[in-house]
Amino acid sequence: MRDRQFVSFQMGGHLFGVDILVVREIIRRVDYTPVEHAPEAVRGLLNLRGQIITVLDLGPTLGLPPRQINASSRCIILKTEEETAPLYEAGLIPEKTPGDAVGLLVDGISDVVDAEEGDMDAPPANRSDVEVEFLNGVIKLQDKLLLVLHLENLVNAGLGQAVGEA
Amino acid sequence: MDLDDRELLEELIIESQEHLSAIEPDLMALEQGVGGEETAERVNRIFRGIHSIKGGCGFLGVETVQNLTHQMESALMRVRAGKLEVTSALVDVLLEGTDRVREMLDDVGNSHQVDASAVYAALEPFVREEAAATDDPDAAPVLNEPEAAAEPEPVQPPPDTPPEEVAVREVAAKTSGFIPLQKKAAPAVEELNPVPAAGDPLSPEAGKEAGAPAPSPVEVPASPEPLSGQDKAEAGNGPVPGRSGHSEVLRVKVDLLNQLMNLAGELVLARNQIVQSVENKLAETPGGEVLFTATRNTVQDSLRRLRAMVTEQRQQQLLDDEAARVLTDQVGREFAELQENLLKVLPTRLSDLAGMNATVVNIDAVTTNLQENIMRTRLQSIDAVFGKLPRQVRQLAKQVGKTVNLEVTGNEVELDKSIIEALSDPLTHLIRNSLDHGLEDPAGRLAAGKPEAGRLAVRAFHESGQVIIEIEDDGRGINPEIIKQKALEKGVISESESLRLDSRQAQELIFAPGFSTAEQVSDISGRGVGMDVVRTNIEDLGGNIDLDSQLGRGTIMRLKLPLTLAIIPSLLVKMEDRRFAVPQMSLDELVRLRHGDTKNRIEEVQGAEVLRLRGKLLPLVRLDRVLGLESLAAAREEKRATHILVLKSGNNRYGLVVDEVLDSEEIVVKQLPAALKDARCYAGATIMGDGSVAMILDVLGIADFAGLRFIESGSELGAEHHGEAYIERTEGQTLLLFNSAPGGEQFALNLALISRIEEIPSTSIQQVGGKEFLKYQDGTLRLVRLHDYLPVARPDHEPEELYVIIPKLVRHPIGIIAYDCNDVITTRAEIERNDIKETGLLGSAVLDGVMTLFLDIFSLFEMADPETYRQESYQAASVDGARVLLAEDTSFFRAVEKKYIESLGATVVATKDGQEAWNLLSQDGQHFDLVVTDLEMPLMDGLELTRRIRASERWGQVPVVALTSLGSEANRQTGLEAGVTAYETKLDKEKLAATLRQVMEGVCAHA
Repeated sequence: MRDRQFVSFQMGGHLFGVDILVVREIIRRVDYTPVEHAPEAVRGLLNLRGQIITVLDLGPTLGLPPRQINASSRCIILKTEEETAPLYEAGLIPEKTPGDAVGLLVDGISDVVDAEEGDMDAPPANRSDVEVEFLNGVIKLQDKLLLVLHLENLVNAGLGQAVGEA
Repeated sequence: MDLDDRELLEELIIESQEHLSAIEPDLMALEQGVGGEETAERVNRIFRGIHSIKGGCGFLGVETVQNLTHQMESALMRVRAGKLEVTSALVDVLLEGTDRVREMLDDVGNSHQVDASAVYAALEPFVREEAAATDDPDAAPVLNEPEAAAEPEPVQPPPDTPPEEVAVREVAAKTSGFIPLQKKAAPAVEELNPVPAAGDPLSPEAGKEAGAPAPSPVEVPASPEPLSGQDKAEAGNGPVPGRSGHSEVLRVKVDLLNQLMNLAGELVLARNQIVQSVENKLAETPGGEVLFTATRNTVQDSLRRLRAMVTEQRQQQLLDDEAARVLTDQVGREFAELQENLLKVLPTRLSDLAGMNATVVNIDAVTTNLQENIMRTRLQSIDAVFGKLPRQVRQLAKQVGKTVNLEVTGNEVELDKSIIEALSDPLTHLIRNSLDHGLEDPAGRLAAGKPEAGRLAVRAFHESGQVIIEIEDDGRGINPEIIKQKALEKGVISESESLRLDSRQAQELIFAPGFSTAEQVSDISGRGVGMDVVRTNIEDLGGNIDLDSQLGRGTIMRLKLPLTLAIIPSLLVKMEDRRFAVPQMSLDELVRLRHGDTKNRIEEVQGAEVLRLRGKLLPLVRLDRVLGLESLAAAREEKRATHILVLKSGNNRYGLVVDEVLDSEEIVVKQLPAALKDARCYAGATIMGDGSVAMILDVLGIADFAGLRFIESGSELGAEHHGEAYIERTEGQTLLLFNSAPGGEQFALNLALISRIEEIPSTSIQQVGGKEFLKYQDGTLRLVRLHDYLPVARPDHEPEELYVIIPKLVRHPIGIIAYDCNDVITTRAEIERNDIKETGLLGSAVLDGVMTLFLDIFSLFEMADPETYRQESYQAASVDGARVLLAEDTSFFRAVEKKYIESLGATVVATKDGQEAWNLLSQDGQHFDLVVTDLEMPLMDGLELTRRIRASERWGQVPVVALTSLGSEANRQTGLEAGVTAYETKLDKEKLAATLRQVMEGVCAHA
């Protein structure tokens, strides 16, 4: 049974998680430049050491209200598809990350959650607030449920691309 | 296929392509047939090139190429042996062969799909006696390079003979450099060539199994060049040794270069950040040091990575020429120094700004230097495109049955690789056009008195930081009438538009979408890609295209291209607290409207805003509306000023309204993430000195998004919407608008009456005998203040600076003091005479909502200086009592002229054009002593009016005085022929009075 680690974070009162292997870094600065004419999930662009990061708020895509920026807001910078390709090919992560460097705007960061493969259950079909296709599964923590995101589906949906495309 | 093999194959392809490019010009030169040693050397070079391709492809099992090149080689061997003459037909087929090889190499995996049967068939007669040939390339003295020693018998075994094991092993033994590659080569062959792996001759296994069917002669590598990763330095010396002019071939991986570019970009940013932090004197704030440290770290980090990168390249011997050494040395030395400086400065806690400045200057210089150097590595000579031209032109000329002399200059001019790559198609299209449409056929040329062979010149050169490419032919030129006709037929323009286009604008129509001049779709140019696509392609590269064509003389197409796309000069603007960058390349000019002017200058035409700019209407786009930002500050209705960027996209121009214009800055263009690829208003993103991201605006995209539709000429926009064709043809008047007191009345004075406007300090005005004077030029100038003579507002205080308007067309100029000059506008507004009857004023008009008083400087000066000006009025006494018919279309001139003539004591009946005047003359009971007419008028002009007058029995003898704004001699002659009695310039009251007097006296004398 393989151990996995998840970066957990809050959005709209829920606890979500993404595999730590796809996270490049987490930054406090959310001073992005807003961009008009962009897909719904795109809040703007951010400069991270000379690299342009597309800042996404996936809340609305998940059916949650848009993020409000405050002191606990963070931006989770994901590795690009190129960076995670070896992981994906090795079967260490179940999905591809976006081709461009993107940052996920979140309300706050929680702990890193250690879990075994078997700890993750299939997403319950009756959760109406978050669509099943955006979840890889759920992990029962002591007092909470960690919703593990299906990043590929979610980001594609947020950027207006058909889910399951490609 | 693992990575190394793929690299190997890529190397092979690149090299083979280089060989092909080298072969083509030689082939064509061969055809010209110089003969002697030169020809022999050419044949040898071609042979070597073909041979190398054959060898490399044989090694990697690209049999299609191998077989074809073998066949070509055979023909060449016969030429070398003197058994075959070089003929045009042979050159044709060899060129055709290189084409097929190129196609095969373009997509090696599918090379068997390239149909080369025609080439094989055509080559057949040239190689027929091949079997008897005993030529051996090894024996040839030309193959004396070291690798030739490793070269086995290249061709000979007949198809059914298995490859010679011995030879294979020998090669392996002789060229030890191959050995590590052997195994890797095998899988490459598998992928390339699903057919049995006969193409793996070097592996021992293959040797053993060599009985496996080999459908064609199998050959061992001819040369180690394409293979030896360890041998790059040699490869760098040029794939074909002895070829001149290409001594520095640099083979650097593009993505590596891109990374270098990015790092250089980061340095540029770091520099900007430091520059800014110094400017902000961040040292004074507690956070300043932290920021500085961070910036310093960024610089150091970039440096470290850059060095590593360059070192890595060095190790791989990818950058093997001078550039690499220079780059490494420079990076090493200068940045060590820079770092040292930074560390020196840091302990002083930034209090020593002077030291900091030196560092900034240093960092600035280094960064710029580095950036330029790295950028240079991306530059390629345009020869990559120009080199293909002789071939293309030769082929096209044959197809269209024309003779063409091609002159290509500037092959050495360098451009960014990506631009060069994208340039090929548009250039080909332009050349095709010139050949197909531009140049006449030989008979046509002789008939037109031109030499039989057409001339096509293609030039590249630098001009003010850009690269210009010109394609010039001496053909028939572009006939604007035919173009107009075509455009009309195709619905590109409307009837009314076609009437207004001048010939140049008509020629520009070839760039309009949906336009193609081809009579019928021809093979050459009518490929469904119009010139509009060419223009779009060029504009996508950040360039532009225009044309200069003279009927019967020829056409010049002119492309302007930036050197590089990565770092561009731009202008930063602000809208709703957002910053945006606009490429300088697209910027024509900046217009700033003060609050008061906004209303005057910006008009609304069918719901769209336009700006009056020097008499033309410029469509306006508001950036906040385009981006949907306006909601952010709906209350911001009244702004201090409006900034308008006049942007050009193609021959169209529009104004982009922004809040503020900031600095111009060199920016590093970052590509947009895929998520924003549909946002066509942006061309990219960049990072500002403060680290924030700013969007780069796409000039074309914004015009598109805003739904701007240009008439291709881009000029007289609004007129069409107004449907005021009549007004369009009447003359407008250009007026200076000014105030004599702050917030006081607005005055207008025709620009034709103004000699100069001087800005003076109020202290320079001298009082003499209750009058004011200014020392001006060599004498003194009398000054008047309008409120002393007219019932208008007087300023409550004397400002420090004043304007003096100095009139012309008066014998004794008097300067008019203005408090502020507001604007210069061109208008056709009607002057109302009725509401204002003051001496010194012609009347008033409402100009864009502001009541404006038109000055009558002559009566004003009469009041100010009665002695001088009264006398002159008396001189015109003979006109007194005369009845004068005046025809003048411009209401302002009509008012002025009427007033002048009336001041001489005459009665004036004013009409607004020749038709109205003639109607009046045709009525019974009318009596006129004199006709004064403008020449340029709608409906009936002054000449026609004069002709009718002269032709009529009743009015034949009446004197006609013609008024012109420009006294051109040609006009004068036509006028005199039509029967004009005298000419006078408009607005010159004294001369007009004199002329009228002379004319009337002449009449009296005759009577």
